[in-house]
Amino acid sequence: MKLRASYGTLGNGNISPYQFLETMSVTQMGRILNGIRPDYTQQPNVIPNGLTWEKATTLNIGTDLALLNNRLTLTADWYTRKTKNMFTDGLPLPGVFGATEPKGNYADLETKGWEVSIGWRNKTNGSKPFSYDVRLVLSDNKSVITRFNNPLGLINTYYEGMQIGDIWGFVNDGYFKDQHEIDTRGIDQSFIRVSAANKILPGDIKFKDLNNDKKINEGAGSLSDPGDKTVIGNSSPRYMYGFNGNMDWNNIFVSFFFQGIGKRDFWPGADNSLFWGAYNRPYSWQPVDVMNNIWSEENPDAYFPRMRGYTALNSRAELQVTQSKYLQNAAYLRLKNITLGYNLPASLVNKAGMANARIYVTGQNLWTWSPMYKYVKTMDPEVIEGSDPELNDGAGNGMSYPMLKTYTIGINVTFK
Amino acid sequence: MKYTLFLVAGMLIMSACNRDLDLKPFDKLSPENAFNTEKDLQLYANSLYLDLPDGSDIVRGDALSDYLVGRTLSNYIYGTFGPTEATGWSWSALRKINYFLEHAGNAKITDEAKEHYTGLARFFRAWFYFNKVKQFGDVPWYDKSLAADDPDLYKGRDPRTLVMDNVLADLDYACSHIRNTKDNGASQITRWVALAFKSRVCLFEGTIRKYHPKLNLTGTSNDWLDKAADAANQVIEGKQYKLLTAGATDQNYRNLFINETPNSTEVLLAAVNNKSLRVFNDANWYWTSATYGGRYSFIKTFINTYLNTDGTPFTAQAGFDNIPFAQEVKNRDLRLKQSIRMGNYTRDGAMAPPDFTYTYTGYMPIKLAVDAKATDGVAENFNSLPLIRYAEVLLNYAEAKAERGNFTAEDWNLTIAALRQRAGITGTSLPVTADPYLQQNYFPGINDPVLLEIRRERGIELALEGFRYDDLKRWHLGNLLTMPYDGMYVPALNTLMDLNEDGKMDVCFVEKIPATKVPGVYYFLIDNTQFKLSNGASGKLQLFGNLPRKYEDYKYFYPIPYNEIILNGNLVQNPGWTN
Repeated sequence: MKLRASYGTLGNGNISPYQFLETMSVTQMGRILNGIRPDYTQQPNVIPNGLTWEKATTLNIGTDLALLNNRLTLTADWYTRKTKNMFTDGLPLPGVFGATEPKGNYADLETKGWEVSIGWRNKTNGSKPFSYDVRLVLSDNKSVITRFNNPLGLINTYYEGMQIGDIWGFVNDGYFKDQHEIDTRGIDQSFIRVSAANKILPGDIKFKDLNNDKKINEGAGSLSDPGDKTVIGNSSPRYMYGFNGNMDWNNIFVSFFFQGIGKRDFWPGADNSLFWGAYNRPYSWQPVDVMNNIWSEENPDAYFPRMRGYTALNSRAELQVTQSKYLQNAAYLRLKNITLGYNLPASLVNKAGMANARIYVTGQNLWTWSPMYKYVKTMDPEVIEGSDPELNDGAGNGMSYPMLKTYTIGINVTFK
Repeated sequence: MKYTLFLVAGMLIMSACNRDLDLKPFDKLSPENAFNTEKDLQLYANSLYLDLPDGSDIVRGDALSDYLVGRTLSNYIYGTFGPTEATGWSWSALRKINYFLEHAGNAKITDEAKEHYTGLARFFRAWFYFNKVKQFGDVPWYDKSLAADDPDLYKGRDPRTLVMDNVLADLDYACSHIRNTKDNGASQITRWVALAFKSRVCLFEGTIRKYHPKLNLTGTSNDWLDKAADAANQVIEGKQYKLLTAGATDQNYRNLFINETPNSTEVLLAAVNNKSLRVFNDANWYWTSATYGGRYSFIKTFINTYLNTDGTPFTAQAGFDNIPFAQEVKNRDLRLKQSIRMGNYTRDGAMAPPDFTYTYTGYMPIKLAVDAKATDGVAENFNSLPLIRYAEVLLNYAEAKAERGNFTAEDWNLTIAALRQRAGITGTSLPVTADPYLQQNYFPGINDPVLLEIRRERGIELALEGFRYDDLKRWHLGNLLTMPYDGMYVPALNTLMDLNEDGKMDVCFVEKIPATKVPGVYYFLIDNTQFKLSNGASGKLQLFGNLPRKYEDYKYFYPIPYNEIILNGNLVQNPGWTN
């Protein structure tokens, strides 16, 4: 058994250069002046008043443990990291500023986390021993902003006490059942639009009036007046785990590796045709899972509301506003890798003039499970955000190139 | 000797240190080396031009106007619109200008050159603030680039009078210091451009103060109108520009819009497009595609204002609303055939009647698009589009003088008569009776026959060029945006119609699409909800009567984006707008 503890402070060197200089780039115009497209330059970026190092102070306490004749091993670590003077975006300034807010050492961040790794290995006796080992790795961390100059308490930027990854949104309250309910509910929901004319019909979404002002809106967008929004989830991946194992008996060997995330919320978000289908763009893909789960008078409990085009795309539309019901649980468990193989007996191999030889079959990403699959199976929880910058930059969430399933059959030979 | 060596070595090391640790990027300029020579100033000043509208902006300029109807109605007049949707509170162009003004003085060049570039920047600042004032009314005035901790970031709005006086001062400086040369490429700001723009700004300000008594500035209106007339007159007296009349009477007008090289006989400033430099606009795509474009077409009420060739109003005859398309477009102001598809209009050698897969009314615009079909589905039009042209200067001059009450017969001949003669109209004498059609449909309360004709002329001459909504605003006629949308006259249902008399049938209005169709004919479904005929089974097309439009008085001033009100508590929202 071993006990470890460490404490230290480091600077962050991972910051782009020339942040302290006013620089003016020269670019060719898209406009024709005097018969040519001349070069132009314009006002430099606004630089911060004084910069200093971003310092991360880490306290780490850990233990390494080996028990039962080294068959059981355990490594555990707990750490807390305080980042002082984090180099980050400044507070949003009024539009009349006319430039991007200068970055600066504006925030402090505190991260707490832990890591555990447990392993077990063993070997039976005899002429054909069975040896195996398994290992479980589990880790988690959580970051909180402890300082940021945000006197208005705006929730679209950092604020003191904010947990990194928090998602603000409206809370769903089912669907409007019928015209009577639409006429009598008495809560003005016109801030969130169902169409250009904004006439609510049965099957449209009801939102909860959290602050009881009979109006659904965003208030002042601040902590003291968030309207009807609240923290509905957190997008940071939590409880990341991996589980791997190896077995070997009589020249036959098997290994596997599972990997996943225990908790993570995902808002399908902007231009995500794979999730929203026709709700995003009516001429777009029609995922079968969506088509079979659309509200109608015969199917009033469907997952998706009344069919309306562009409601997941246009600003402030019914499905475009972040809301609790369609927040996805993007936890997952994936069999990343499994290998089955056989080492040819040494006697056979040596006769053929080889040192050793093995044949094997490997599969990658063969199986995945995620709670999200209950509603849509079109997205890969491991690469869920954004789109591939090489293939279709900016095409919307869920448009990343998915992880491929691959199978490999191999022969591995080493000659003397 | 030994010590000297150490000293030299030490100096070398130290100087090396300095150089290594204080490097500047090689691929960028810094404020110290960007404002020294005239070339430097030119390099920066080029960036100011990026804030002028480009060709594709001009094409969309009249999307919100009273004379066009399209696929969708603007949510400004139909549906929900509020501060959360509001845009346009962008100030980076102003920072760019003020930053230049703060640094250009450091250049080691002649005073004349300094003043020229200062004038240029101040022209652009006037352009910037004129647009802000038109959109929002009162706005905060800044003549410096703001630091991140400047308390002025959080100031409230300045009164319209202060901002517009500053705009005027900027323009006066620009007019007297920008170099006085004509740009035959029509791409650069010259003194002539500044004067013409000044006439636009002053006419706007003079008339909005006159027709919006709520601003409490009616007493200052005449002063601005005089300035408008004076600035326009300087351009006229300068004799550098004139109306383009060199070619055929039925082509001169449209030649201003469909050619690659802007015609600097008449055009002072253009968004220049060019095929070999690959600078394009999307006019053809926008004006022919049913899905990409807005499907905007003129309404009949406006088309009715085009005069007959002899100078008499089309609306003077009885039953002017009951004439079939092919007949009503004959013998009209020649700008009509240069603005819409009609008569013997052809594309790539084939007759091209109004295309009802695009148009709703029959009056399908062609003014800004070219006749070749090659760019109908791609943003590669290379026709240059005017931003300021001499015809506008004449119209500004005429209107300012008429509003001021000192418009003469000589002025009439110089302005409106000249524009009409260019359009092939023969009878162009000074009008003596007020046109009742204009009074009823457009300008109730205006009794001056000349002013009515000036406004008619402005609508027709500058149609689609992005002036209309501003004109309606300053005339206090925003409610015209809610006028009924009407289209061409339909003599009978289920009757094939030939719109360009080429012997081929083009369109048929039906209440039910027939099972067998005549090839080449578009069947327009009269569903009696969105699309109706005024007498039921015949009459004028009536469009979107089921969608109620509204233009309340508070909409003259656009809302400040909601987010900005939150960020700056001193910024007060325009009255009437709620979140």
